[in-house]
Amino acid sequence: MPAPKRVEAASSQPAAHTMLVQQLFVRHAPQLRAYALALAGEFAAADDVIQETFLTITTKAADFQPETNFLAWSCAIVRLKVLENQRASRRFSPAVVDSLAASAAPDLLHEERLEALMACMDALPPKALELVRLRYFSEHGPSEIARLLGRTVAGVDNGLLKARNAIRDCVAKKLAAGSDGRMEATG
Amino acid sequence: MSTLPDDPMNEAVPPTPSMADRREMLIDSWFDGTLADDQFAELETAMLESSEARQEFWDRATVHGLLREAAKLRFSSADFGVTPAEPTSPSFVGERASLAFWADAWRQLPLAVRRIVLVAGWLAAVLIASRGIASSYREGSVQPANVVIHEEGFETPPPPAQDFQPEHFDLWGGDETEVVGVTDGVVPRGGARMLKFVSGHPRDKFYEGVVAEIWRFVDLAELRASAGGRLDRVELSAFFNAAQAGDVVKPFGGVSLIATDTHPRDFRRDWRAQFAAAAKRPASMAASEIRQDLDSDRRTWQRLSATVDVPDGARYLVLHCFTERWRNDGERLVWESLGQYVDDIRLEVVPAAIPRPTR
Repeated sequence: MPAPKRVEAASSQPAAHTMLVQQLFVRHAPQLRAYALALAGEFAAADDVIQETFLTITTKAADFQPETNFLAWSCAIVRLKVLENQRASRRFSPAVVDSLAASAAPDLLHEERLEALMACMDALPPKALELVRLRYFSEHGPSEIARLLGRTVAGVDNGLLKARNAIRDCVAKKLAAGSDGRMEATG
Repeated sequence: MSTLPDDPMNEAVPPTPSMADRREMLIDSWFDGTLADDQFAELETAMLESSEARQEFWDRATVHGLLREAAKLRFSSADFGVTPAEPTSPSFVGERASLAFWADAWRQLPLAVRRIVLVAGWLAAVLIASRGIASSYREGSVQPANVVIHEEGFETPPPPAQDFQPEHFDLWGGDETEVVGVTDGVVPRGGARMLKFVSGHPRDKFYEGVVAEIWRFVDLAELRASAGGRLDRVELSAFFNAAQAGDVVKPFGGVSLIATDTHPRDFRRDWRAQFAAAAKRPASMAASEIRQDLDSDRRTWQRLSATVDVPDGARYLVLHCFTERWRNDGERLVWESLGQYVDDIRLEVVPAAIPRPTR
């Protein structure tokens, strides 16, 4: 049984607002990680960016207004963190990062897109699904996947390309169908 | 999806790719870390000069980024395998079919539910194969694998808050801790990070008591709703390691699991009273605590676990991990809380066994 402690005054508790911001971060973590990965390019680099983003949104929580868009606010912080982490040689220049961040469509990270993508991923043929698992869950690079599967790197690259294309097209169809459905329902 | 061949790796690359195909290849190669220097320069130039190229980038980046999230959700979902009590035989086909049904049920859940489960610490307990299945544990039955409903390896934010008392849903909080990589010769059990207990109080706050601890609240209402109203047994486990141990330093680790009807705000005054209350009010409370010596081998992680049967009247779970140690300074024993680590905390639902169907 743990030893008893004297209860601290309420002043020792973090501000409720900071907790709210942290909970919003948890809620939007998949979208933020995807955004960080887009700009940072590497899984590990994106994870580092997200770690730093969390620390920043915690310290700057007071800057966030609850009635505003948390995802937009936190994506701006992600962008800054990516720019601060340009140490590796194969990273986009600040000009490219800024240019890309400015051109991101606001609906790219909507939850519907992730939901559609999951459905499309589940519909992949088994071998393509295994490629996706090895690349995105186990986080192996193409050469490692090739070694694991006894295939050529070019074959793995080609397989991943086709799997991504199939998913991209499938997601587009699903989102379009969903949009049409909503228009019919409201029309 | 029908246009994708069964084995996409067997398809030849088009010999003369279009400009868009070329950029597509460059973008994918950048994400796969296989881009050559001249190709990287070509990609950067395209990103700066062409709005069409930037649009293509986001199309690919969105697929790439969200695929990673989707893969985490899809492949880290619970292990639906069964551990047969005897070698697999045709009579088990029915049980496996039942489990397959629950696996499918999981996949049919709205994404929002699944995402909340894995990201914010929840897992839809619709996976609990005990629902609708007789709970008696008969000879020849199969025991479905536990269903993980919360996993914390400290690999991604947020780190535990430093706020002293059990208070938060969906967030760990407690005493002063630090998320670290390899430290003092201790290697994280999984991934690249683990949690180091730094002191027995929040940072910059001092009070009596030496136990360093973290807590987390789980709302049983949400869990039960997903499980169709039924929830039987849950287990909390965590792996502990100590940087120092031996004759002069004796470290301990422990986990507590409490099912209760007490709201977090009412926990602030007297945590220990919960254990006594649990004994007096079994209809709404249950508590279990395991405390164990930690060995002196920094290479080994010790798993500690506590299990409770959740009473129908319980409304919340309190998850609790703690460490402490005593040190012999030659004249007396000094109690302190330094240098212990925890990693890979898990909360799991223990499904009821599935009986063999009668023939």
